[in-house]
Amino acid sequence: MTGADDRLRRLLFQSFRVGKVKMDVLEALLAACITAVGFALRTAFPDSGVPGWEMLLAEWYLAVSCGILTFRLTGNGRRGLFVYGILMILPTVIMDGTIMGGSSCVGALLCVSALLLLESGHVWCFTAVSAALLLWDVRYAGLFAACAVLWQWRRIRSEQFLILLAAAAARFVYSYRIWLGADYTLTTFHWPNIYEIVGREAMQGQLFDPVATVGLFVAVGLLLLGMWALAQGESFGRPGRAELELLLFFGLAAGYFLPYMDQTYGYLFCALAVVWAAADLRCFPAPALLQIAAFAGYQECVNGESMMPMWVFSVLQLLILTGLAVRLLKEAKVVDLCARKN
Amino acid sequence: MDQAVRNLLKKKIKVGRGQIGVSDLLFLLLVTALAAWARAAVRTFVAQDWTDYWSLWLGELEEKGFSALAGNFYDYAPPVMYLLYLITLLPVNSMTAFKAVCCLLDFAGAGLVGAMTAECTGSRKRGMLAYGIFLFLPTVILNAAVWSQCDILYTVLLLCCVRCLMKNRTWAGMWFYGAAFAVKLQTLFIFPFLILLWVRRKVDLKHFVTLPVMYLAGILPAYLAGRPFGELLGIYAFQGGKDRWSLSIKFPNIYQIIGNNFFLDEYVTAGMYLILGILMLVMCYMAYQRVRITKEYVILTVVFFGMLTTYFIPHMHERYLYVTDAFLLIYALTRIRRFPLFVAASFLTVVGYAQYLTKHDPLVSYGALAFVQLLLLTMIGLDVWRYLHDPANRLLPDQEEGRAIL
Repeated sequence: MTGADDRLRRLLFQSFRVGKVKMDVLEALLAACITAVGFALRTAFPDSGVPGWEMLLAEWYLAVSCGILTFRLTGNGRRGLFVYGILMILPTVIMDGTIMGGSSCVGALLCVSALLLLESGHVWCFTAVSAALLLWDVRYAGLFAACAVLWQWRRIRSEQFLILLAAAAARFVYSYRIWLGADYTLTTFHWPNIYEIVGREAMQGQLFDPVATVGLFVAVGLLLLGMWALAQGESFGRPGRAELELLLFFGLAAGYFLPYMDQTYGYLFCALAVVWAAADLRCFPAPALLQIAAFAGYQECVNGESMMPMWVFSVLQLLILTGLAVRLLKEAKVVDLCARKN
Repeated sequence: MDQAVRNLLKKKIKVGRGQIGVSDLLFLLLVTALAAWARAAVRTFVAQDWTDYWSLWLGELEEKGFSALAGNFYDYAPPVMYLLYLITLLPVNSMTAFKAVCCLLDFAGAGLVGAMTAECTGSRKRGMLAYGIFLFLPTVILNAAVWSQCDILYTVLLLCCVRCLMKNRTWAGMWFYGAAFAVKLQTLFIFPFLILLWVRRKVDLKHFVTLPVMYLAGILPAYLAGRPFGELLGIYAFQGGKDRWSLSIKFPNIYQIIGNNFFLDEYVTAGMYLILGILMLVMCYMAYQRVRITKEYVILTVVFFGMLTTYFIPHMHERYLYVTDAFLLIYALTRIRRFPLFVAASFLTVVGYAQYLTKHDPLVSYGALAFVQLLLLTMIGLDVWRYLHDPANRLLPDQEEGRAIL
């Protein structure tokens, strides 16, 4: 039996090749099993049913893309596999795609694809996808801010940046006009941000909601300040790492102050945070806490009430955001710059 | 006089093959006596579980004798029912007898915790301290002596299992594990640790035969008494389907944060798949780390898996960290800087006990406690990480892995 045991153990760690990809039997087994578990998770909700095959494919593709992005950022295939596995069973992904029948994975997939394109040097393709995302939804405002810093760091060209600026401006004007007269009842729809702390009830019966309008300009102003501050610094880490961190920071910062965001805002950032933590393992608490905060928003949306007060999750997000900001300023050497000048 | 007393206390007495100081012996006797007194003082408390379940089961057994086991009135594993049957044969109050058996096991558990701590640290003093702390843990006193629960039963078996494995008595360890599995399903919380031991050549596949053998041996008398075999095989599945009214029963885990009263059926299935996926990822990661398997690592892994699984599995009860707390005590005394973590964990679990027994809501919300539990889990996870990445623990690429736990 011991001989059989040893043979089995050796088999698990035996390497094999499929095309250019080299992997161990254990890794292949994990990939197969975690895919199966991911699918099984999506069958656990008979009322909403399994999502359509297009959505399943998009979610699977998102997991694969995040795995590849991790591999490119770290050069570690096994870490890419773990990220793939985590994305396959990520509760927010299941909640959005299966329970709520949402399609947030499409936007997230496009965004991750854009990062992959940028990382592999296809900057025009990245610009096209990013512009489309900016036009599509105001929730990608963070992408524009990240691109502005990248432009300052000469990672994208001026003409590419101008296209993105035009797309972002168009979306801003459109959203501003809509929001002004929408007469929403709440300033945040289950997305735990600043409005869960200051009060989320919108002011109605007025020409505009002052809290939301001020919030909108605070968001834009803070993004501008963040862009300016980080533009003083320099790129860092392996190619793609700074881009990912910028997108994560500006995305979360924008969502923290923009009014009228809903629970799906967190989807993309939950996925990106997993990749980010895989690239730098010291950051592991951030994706876990972000996952809890975003999932709590979904849960409140579905059930109409939250187990814990939503401001708790807003504070969690603020902690993540602060940590991310400090880290980014240090890594981009903005803090050093200030110290030297002073 | 003073010097005579001091000399007496310093004196060593031969006990078996070893020696023990009189002061140490006195300390142990005093702790034991005090712990026994504490338990005796609360023995008459009648908990709701006793009224709703245990007394009814005992009534059935008293009325029909051993043949009562043919009925489906009980949902605990049959070995627990055999214990109840034996209690009905005693000429004493059944609740007192049941509590007495469990309290005796408390002392056995404390002895094992003490012995394992002494073996892990090489310090007899720490072992004695562990013995005393375990006996005075609020959850340990409340569980058996007040609540009339028997979590100590499988905890003792698991302690025996891990102790035997640490002493490289693999078969004995796995028989104990099989016995624990025959008593309680919660034994499975730490099962991933055994798989990791298999990967690292400390146990073989043949050793896992103890699980079905002990389970079948456990249900055999009930089968002979007349209960259908299929029902006996599925008794754990029936237990799992019982507490459908809440995803977490006063247990500080993820469901206390995201909501334990919604998607009651759906999250049960989803939660099981989720923990399965998490365990796959964690175990795969750990399987790739070629490290020396030491006693400390064994204890740490048991604590880690005990905390991880209970944090995500639905329908956890307030009592389900009992085993983990016992191993956490050993770990905390092995790495003394982790002692505050053990203190926090002990206070965390006692909140649920207090609510069950007093029927009053706790002052701190379970959501907040769940965040603290997450923090504890993270800290233990980080300890595992540090162990796996400590160069002193890593095996060289050409270094052969021995079969012994170091």
